[in-house]
Amino acid sequence: MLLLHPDCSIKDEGERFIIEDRVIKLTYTGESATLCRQALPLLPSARDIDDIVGGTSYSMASLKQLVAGLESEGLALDLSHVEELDDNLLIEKIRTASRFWNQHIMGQVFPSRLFEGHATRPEVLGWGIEFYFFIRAANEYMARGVARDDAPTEVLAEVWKHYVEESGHEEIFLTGLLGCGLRRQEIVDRMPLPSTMALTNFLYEKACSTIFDYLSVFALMQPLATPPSRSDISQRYDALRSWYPFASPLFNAFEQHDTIDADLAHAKLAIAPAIIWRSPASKHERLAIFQTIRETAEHFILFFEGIPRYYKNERFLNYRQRPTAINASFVS
Amino acid sequence: MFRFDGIPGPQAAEIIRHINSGSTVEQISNAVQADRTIVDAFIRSLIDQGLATEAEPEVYTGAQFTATLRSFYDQWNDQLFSHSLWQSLSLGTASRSIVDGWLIETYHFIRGANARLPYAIAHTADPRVRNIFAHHYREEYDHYGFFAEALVRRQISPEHVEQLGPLVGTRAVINWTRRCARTDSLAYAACSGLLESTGTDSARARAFYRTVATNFDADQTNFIDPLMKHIDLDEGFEHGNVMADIFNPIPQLSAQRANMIVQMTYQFVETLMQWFSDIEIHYFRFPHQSKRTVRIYRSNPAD
Repeated sequence: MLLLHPDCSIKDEGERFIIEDRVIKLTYTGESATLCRQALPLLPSARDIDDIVGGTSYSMASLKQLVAGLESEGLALDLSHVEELDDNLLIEKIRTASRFWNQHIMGQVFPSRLFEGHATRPEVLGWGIEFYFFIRAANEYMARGVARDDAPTEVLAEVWKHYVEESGHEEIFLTGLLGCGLRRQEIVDRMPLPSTMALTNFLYEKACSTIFDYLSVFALMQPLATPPSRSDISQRYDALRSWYPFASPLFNAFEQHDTIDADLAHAKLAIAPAIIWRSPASKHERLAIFQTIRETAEHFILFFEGIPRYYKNERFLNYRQRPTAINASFVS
Repeated sequence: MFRFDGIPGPQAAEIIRHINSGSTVEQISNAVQADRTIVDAFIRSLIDQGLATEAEPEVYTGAQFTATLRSFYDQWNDQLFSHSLWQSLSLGTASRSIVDGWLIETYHFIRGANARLPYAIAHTADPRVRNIFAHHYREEYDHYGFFAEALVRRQISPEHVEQLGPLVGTRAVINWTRRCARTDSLAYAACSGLLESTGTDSARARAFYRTVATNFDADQTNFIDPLMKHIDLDEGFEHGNVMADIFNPIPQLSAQRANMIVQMTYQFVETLMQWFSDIEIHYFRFPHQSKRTVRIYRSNPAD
């Protein structure tokens, strides 16, 4: 499978062939432009790189060079022949795929607005509330995911520990939300949005499946090879606090949580020990890992979409009626 | 729409929140730091207008709860079928790609009965309810075939559709019902009852399909014919009565459990609305293409 990044656009300007997204713009000329012109339209229907090379007048080496260049800039993802990758290359490819799909999530309208300082107060605090539900759901999906003994202790010990370290973290976010003036009962008893439930239910279903399925979702959540430094973390939240001063206690909570995760080395790829244990993982298992990473990204996109759709005003932020057998007819 | 004067909006919202948590007037007055007479007058006016009641039962009989659900189903179905997806299908304003998308995702959803009904059977402890679910499943498990046939008639390969997998919104619907099934089999029964409640009006369903055929089958593929056959079959099974068959014999249902079931069913309504929006957003921008190997969800290219 070979994908061009969903958020990049291509422009054929005769002499020049341009591929760009919001971060980078690559301009090809001469033979390279001709290769792009021939190869890129074939990508959507290609199963892998072999399907493309036959449709061009160029060699496999030229095509691989083009694709490798695009992949290194995050503009393509080449999953051709993943069954031939050794364990280390497979782990590196998982990181590449995770960064690729993470970039797609962050390129969506609401995350872009949110992390560029253009979200409204109900959206920012609503995101905090729904994120709290997501963190709280670790006690469902992570608990279910680690409830297994189908691998050696050396593989599962880290998985069990990961859940223990995450369990209870919802209190950090709850404290942050309370600091912003929201009421405890209004948060903890609130119905999560359907988009949040879609994400947490998906994570639960993956947790019920194979160890690869369960651990693949964390690859997307923690795509960095090295944990961010404390100064990287502060810088990120200093910016958010300056844009959204009303939510400073919430961002303090995020910062605290990110620092704990960084100190616990949660940026380590949780799936790596399982890959080494199962070595060599089958082609089917490998493709399933990449499919789960993509599907996890899709669910995070829906999660983010739900926030501006619902948190349009202070009223929804302060009150979401829970239907009962008596009052459901008043709820809309 | 009701308008109340003499009380600030946020304070009124706060009072309503406390009403729903079962607090007394005195407790509410203290909690919202408002004069008791104002709080009392506001609550009285809510009761007078039929917007609140002091008489929440502690228990419901199964028959009472069946009637409650049925009344909610009517309102929720109005809400569901007023969604722009259904309106555009009825009015003939939907694009061809949306019609394809609706059919594709409905195929996944109907096929998904195999991911939810047996799951509910396996998670149900009460043998009576379990047998009803099992009977329902035996009559339902292969209905995806009607939608596969409709896809084929519309020149869409069901194998390719399966390769791409369901849209996130479709998967969310299936996963929500599975959540209900493992939480409380009666919550599953209430959600399933909502789905089947639309099937009780076969004449309306047939009229809808005829409209869709008129508006969207210029090529005369007759893709609606298998869907009509599906209605004929469902009509014979009377699945619209399954919810009542499950709830009616229950002697007592606590208000707490009844409320939880209603809440989960309402969340199912929200999940269905989300599904309809997802179909519209996705297929408007990304018409189904028979050669595409991977679905691209929410492409957002740079200008």
